[in-house]
Amino acid sequence: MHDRRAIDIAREVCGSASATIAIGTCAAFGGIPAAGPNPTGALGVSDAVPGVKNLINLSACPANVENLTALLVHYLTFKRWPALDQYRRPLFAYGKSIHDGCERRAHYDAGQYVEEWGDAGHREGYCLYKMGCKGPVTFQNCPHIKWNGGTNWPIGCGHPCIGCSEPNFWDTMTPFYRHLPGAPGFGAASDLDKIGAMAVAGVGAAFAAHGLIQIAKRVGENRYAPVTPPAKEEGDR
Amino acid sequence: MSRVIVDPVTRIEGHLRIEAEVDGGAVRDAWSSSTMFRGIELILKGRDPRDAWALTQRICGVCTTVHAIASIRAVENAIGAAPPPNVRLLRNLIIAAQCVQDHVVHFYHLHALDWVDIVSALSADPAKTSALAQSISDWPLSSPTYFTGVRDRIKAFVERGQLGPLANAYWGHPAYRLPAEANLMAVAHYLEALDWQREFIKMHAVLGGKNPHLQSFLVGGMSTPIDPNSQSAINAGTIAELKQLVAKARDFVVRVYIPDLLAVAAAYKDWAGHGKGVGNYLAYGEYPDDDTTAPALFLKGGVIRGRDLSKIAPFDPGKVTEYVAHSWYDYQQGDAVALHPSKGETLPNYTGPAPPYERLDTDKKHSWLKSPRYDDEPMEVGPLARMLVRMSPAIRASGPSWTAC
Repeated sequence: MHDRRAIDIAREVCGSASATIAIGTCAAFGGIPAAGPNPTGALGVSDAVPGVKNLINLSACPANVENLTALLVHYLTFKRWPALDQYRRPLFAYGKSIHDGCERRAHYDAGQYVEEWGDAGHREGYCLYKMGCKGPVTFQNCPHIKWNGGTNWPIGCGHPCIGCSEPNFWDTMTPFYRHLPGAPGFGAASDLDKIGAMAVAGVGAAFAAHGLIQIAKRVGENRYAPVTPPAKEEGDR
Repeated sequence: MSRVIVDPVTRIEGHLRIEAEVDGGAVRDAWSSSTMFRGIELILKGRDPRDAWALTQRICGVCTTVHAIASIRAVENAIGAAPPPNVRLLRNLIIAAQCVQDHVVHFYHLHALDWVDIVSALSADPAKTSALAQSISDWPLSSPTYFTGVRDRIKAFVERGQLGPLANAYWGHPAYRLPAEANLMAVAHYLEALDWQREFIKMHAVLGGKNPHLQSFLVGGMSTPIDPNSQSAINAGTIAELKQLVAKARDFVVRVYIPDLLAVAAAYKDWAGHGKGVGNYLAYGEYPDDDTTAPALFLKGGVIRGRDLSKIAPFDPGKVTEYVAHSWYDYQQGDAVALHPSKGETLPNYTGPAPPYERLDTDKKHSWLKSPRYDDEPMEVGPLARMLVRMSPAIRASGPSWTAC
């Protein structure tokens, strides 16, 4: 293989394939080598292989093997590829935000936040929003399938989500320990640090259903150069 | 004289190319080349140092954690942070689990097929395989029925022509020395080890959320809370889970991996004379035993020169430097200088042949790896170096009683 460039092999193989599965955020969106300043001009498959058909992105770092298995089982069962989101990720695995499925969601709604590593809230499993959690703007089924055979997931270890399934997350989600701008539901200029738990408790559930989806979409639109949209939402056979 | 080119070298993570000059069946000279550059050093520049571990960890998904730990320690060293005792214990557990899991994966899944002929295993007698297995270990999966099952599984696999990752090997090559029964036993354990590594690495999921790429590191600490009275922290239940994972893993290591290692090594003893390195060995040491900024280490570090195990020099990180004379980088002061990593420069400048190419000009720059030196000498690092440093009389006299990694 030493006489051929990897990108030429990818263009030949993926360019002729009936479908291509990009496994992991590097393959899907460029990932770590494409992080700013992208010293090598790294690309995801959608940009590196012009005209690629039925691309399915299984982003995350690493990709969760449960989702690859599910994708293949879906194809073998239904003889067609699943419905995808705007970044060509299967809705069955990327249809909801981390925040929506998070085991700590009740603490968010109740205004119970970790304020400092190792404080009482951290030990009790309070919400990691203020510590920089990107769960509200990250779409993947981590909270439900978890990792390593359902053993655990990062938030289960008291660490914020870093948004690893989202395009360009190394640039858009960093600094990882700075919380998302504003607090949805309190107006654009709200500063969560100044909002008391009492105030949050009353309205948390009300804004949760709307505000965070909006913020997710806004962040998404700003940070991603869209790929050529597919002709159909569902892939061909 | 002919040149043999292996590119990519498989069964490693990453992108390595070897060019070797072969004369009369013996390698006379050889060059290694890293064929990929991502520029993580450049990507890290200007970022929040608390984030650095997450980016650095992505250098490798197989030796995940080690680059994260190195990054965390570098930042902590720079700001003079001393993590608390529980952090040391958590990190030691994570590093040790990585070390043990990686050894088994390396032996069975990355390396064993250089010694174990899968196709030969098809002609093995399951009853004789059972007798062989029971003669070296009391591991319970050793009945003739069990080995018949494994043989039939492999047979169906081969007959369908779907060898997958096992295709394109050297099956039937005369350099394979194990009898068919030993091959069948090793193939059975290769498959068992696939399950084993998946189960044992749940250690990392418990302590780091997931593997690869654990996500519980923090500069100055760990995010995993410890509170025996909390449902959301490491508590007695977690400790019981960890103990169970370790006990099961240890059982396989002691009753399967080590006996297999000795059985295979016995058949290939003379191979130990091939491919000897520079004869200098360097181990940094690992597993801090206390919480000072220069802690005592459970596995001591040290430097061995010229294969002289009787003399061991202490490791001094200040003596590590990197050259770019054979690498596709420029240094502002030119190729003659060697820079300490803390003063390191990463200025890529590819001057190799335009791809696709047949040969590298190995007299000139030919790799994306810099050339690290210790006290201006090349060193072998890794498990062998760690073992030799540990086994040297000087270290043995000073250390605690110790038998295996």
